[in-house]
Amino acid sequence: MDVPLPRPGRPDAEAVIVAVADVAESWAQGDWPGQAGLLSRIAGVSSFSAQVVKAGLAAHFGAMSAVELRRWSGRSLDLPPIRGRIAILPATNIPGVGLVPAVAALLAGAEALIKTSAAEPHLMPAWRNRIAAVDASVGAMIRVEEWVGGADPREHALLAACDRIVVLGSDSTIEDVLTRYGGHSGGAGLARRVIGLGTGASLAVVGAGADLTAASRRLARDVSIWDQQGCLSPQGLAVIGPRSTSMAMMEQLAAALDTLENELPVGQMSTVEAAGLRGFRADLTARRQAGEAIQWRESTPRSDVRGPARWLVWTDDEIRFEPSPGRRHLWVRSAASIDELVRCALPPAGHRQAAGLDESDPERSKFAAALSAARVPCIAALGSMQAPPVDWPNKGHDLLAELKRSAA
Amino acid sequence: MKARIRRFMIKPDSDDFGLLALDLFRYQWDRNKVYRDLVLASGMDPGAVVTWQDIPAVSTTVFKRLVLTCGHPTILFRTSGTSRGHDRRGEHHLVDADLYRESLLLSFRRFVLPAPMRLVILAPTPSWAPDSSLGFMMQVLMDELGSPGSLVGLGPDGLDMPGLLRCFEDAERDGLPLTLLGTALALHNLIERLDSEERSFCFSPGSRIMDTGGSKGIGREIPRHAQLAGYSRVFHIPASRVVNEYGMTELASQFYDASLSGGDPDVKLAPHWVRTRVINPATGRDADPDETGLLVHLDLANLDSVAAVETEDLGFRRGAGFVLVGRTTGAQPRGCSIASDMLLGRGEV
Repeated sequence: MDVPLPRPGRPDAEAVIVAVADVAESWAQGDWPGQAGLLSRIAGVSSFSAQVVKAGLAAHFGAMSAVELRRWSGRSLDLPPIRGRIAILPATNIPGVGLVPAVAALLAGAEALIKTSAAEPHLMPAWRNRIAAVDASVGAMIRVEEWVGGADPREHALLAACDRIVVLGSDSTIEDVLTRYGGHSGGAGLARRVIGLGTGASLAVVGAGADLTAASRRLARDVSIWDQQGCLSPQGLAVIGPRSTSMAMMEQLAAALDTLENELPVGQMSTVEAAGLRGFRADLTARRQAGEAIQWRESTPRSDVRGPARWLVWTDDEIRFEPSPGRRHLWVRSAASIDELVRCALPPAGHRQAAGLDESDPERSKFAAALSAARVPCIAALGSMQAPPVDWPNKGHDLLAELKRSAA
Repeated sequence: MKARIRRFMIKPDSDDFGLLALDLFRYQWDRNKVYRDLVLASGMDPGAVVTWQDIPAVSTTVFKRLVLTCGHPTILFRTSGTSRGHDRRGEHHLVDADLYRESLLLSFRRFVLPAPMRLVILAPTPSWAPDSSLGFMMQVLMDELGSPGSLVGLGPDGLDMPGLLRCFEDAERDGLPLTLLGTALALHNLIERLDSEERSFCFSPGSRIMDTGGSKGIGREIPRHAQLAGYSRVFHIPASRVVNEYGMTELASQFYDASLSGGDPDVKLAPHWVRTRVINPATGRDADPDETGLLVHLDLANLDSVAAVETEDLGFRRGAGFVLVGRTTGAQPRGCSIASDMLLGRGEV
């Protein structure tokens, strides 16, 4: 069964840029028809507060200016546009993570089939409708479908009609799609090329010479937007300096998270998440009782908010990367040098996503060079880790160029 | 205290669970400094403990960091740690195994096997897994309930296929029932081996299977119905003769489903000296009746450590027991974001 998409004359990249930028700009201006209701619906089905959804989506759309889109598109102008159809299977952890890959598909010249899920079925159809309202021919290149991955009989037909499948999600999700549709197992008899953007982890790095108060405020924002659910969310902070600096940073960060909580309240967590945080908190207590030099600061209980700590910052004597339990729980650890950090405290190779450096840090150029050499693909500024440029190298991929090259 | 608990285990009307639990709390408060410090560090007032539900529970996580004991331990059980590769292993220290044995045998006789039978064990044994509580359990069962012809069919090198085949053939020939005991994973491997050889057996009525644990560590989930279908296909033992055990290193007692007594096979039941609370992990208070929450067990047989243990297992109340839903350990996979188990399980830098 083939699933037809409308096939009017294909708009060129410039038409895509104009339409996408126009829609993004109207989001920034708050003049999408029904924008407030849409935000409310997205927040209602997600695990984030409405304020976080608003701030997070503002960052997504803020990256899609015409200037930025032209710059991105211009980098692969030497490659001819592709035709055909590209499926985008976004992760469901954060609303809107499918936007940039969808734009890449359109800029590459392809139609985009975007999967949504029951976890967040609202944004992508609304975006597609806004695009269509601005430019019907660009809108006609976008199709949005909701299905349960791996469980819906329509999936095979939908993906069979696509030339490429871009998957954003956990490594196991990507492996699953590869097995079924990648062609290397012959799973469905399809020889499709899957581009997988899998699990990634990020951290922040601050030197002792930085303005700790300002850096803390900026880092708190990166932690609070999307509640550490994304691959660009810092799991912890490595302080290049003595333990006393990491202690000071812990205090500053605690104060910043506390203040920011009013502007960006933490979302509702699931039973599983709450249970995980409960066990995590018990472990901290046990570690302290076992004699480890561990200290932490956490949110004070509030009668109107049920649940574990709404944020928690801990510091100890270790220097290693550790996945955070999420929901604004992060470590602050000291490394004697950037070399020690690279040696001991980066996420595992292949899972490195971003490192946030602070603009006030006199050593940030040196840190950036060392982190880039260690194959951290995205070096970002603290305070804007959740607002990367549209062409940010997700796991090191330039998706637009890759899509075009794969067809060439 | 031990004699009183033992008496209560044997004779339920000899005492009151709540009073006994409170006395046990005071006993452990006096003798277990680590427990006492943990409770005080959490800001709890021991004077506010007036019912068994108030007794402060210790997370299983803590057993990975601290030694919780009321005396001079002589026995150490360690968790396998298989679900989180680099994690520490939890430790449960016992002064002696008297209550552990008592609890095990009383429950096992009630829920699985009342009298000796040929046992076929597919689980670790103390000879090659000396710190495994499951291994200790199997050894006790073999000693107390294993009749002639019983076999340990799993060793450090895997399944003893010649021994198992001989044992199964003997059982078919002599017509005496047998009980297969083992981890779900070992039993699954056995089924796969026998399937590949197109072998199956038809044991006498009264034969039964007790399996424990899930399919973690083999890279894929084996649905329960598939496991039960395998038992039926290869051993001709129907689901109504299969009991699933749920236990943990940190507890001296075990839970079983009620399959053999015709009860709901999804419900885990405990002996009368164990009570389970389902708590809302966000509040620490009892969850609503149908709400999934964290399981907190109070096991009077945990005399030597702490009686109240907060697990990482999720479940909800049903009837006289609970339905196990799953386990939560640390950071959860979050879409494209970090998956703790995955990252910790790799280590390449």
